[in-house]
Amino acid sequence: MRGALVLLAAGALLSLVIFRGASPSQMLAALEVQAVVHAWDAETARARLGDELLVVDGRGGGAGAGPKDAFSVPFEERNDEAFVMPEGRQIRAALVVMEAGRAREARELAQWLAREWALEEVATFQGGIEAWLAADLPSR
Amino acid sequence: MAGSRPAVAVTRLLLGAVLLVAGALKAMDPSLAVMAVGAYGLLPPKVALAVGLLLPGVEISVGGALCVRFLARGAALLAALLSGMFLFVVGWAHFESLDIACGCFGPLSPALESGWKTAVLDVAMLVGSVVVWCERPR
Repeated sequence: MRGALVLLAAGALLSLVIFRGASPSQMLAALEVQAVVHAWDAETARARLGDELLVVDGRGGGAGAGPKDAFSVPFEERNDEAFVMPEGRQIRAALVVMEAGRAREARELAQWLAREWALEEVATFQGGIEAWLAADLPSR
Repeated sequence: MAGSRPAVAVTRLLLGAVLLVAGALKAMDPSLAVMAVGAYGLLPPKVALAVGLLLPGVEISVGGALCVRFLARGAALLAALLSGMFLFVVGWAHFESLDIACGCFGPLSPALESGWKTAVLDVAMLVGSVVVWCERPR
């Protein structure tokens, strides 16, 4: 037990040395706006489709078949254009759909949407557009 | 029991190496480690910040101690606590259907989902910690 406490103290000291140049206030500010991103499957997405949910297609231009009535916010262009939330709907949540192999980008886009549009809930679609189409969810 | 000593030594070295590498990689990008802790949504931001900043140092200290067999039982106890904590948060992420990168290996793991592979690694680390902890000093 004493050994564990000694190592814990040594670890804390080591962290102080490692991160002496870091900026805790910046990290705290980033943490305070960080959203919890959920992963929805087809069943959850189907149950949640409605006026309060905006489906966001994060793929770039020229993408093929995709979710019906999805709002396009290409991941690469999210900071280049002034993407504003569509008006006339009480949108509280966004579901990001991208290619299956771009899970990290989908998560980042969901974080971006939560932050920029002050959404209460953000999620990504498990399995990406391929799973969306296979699940026979509303598509164009 | 004498035959089991090499197996325990290998377990100790592997456990130590994994923790050492994980801690060193997290130390390369402190903000990534902090954001990975915060992404689970389990802790208030200030606590997540403290945990995220402390974790790399503790992992390096515990991993190093295991590798050189210094305070090995105390290190094994901390490794078990860390593994148990990691296992809990992976279970939490699964239970809450969170889309999350585990953050286990800092900048090398942004695409590694917090899923069954992470859970298997955590269980292996927990078992390894118990094996090392049970070894009595000669």
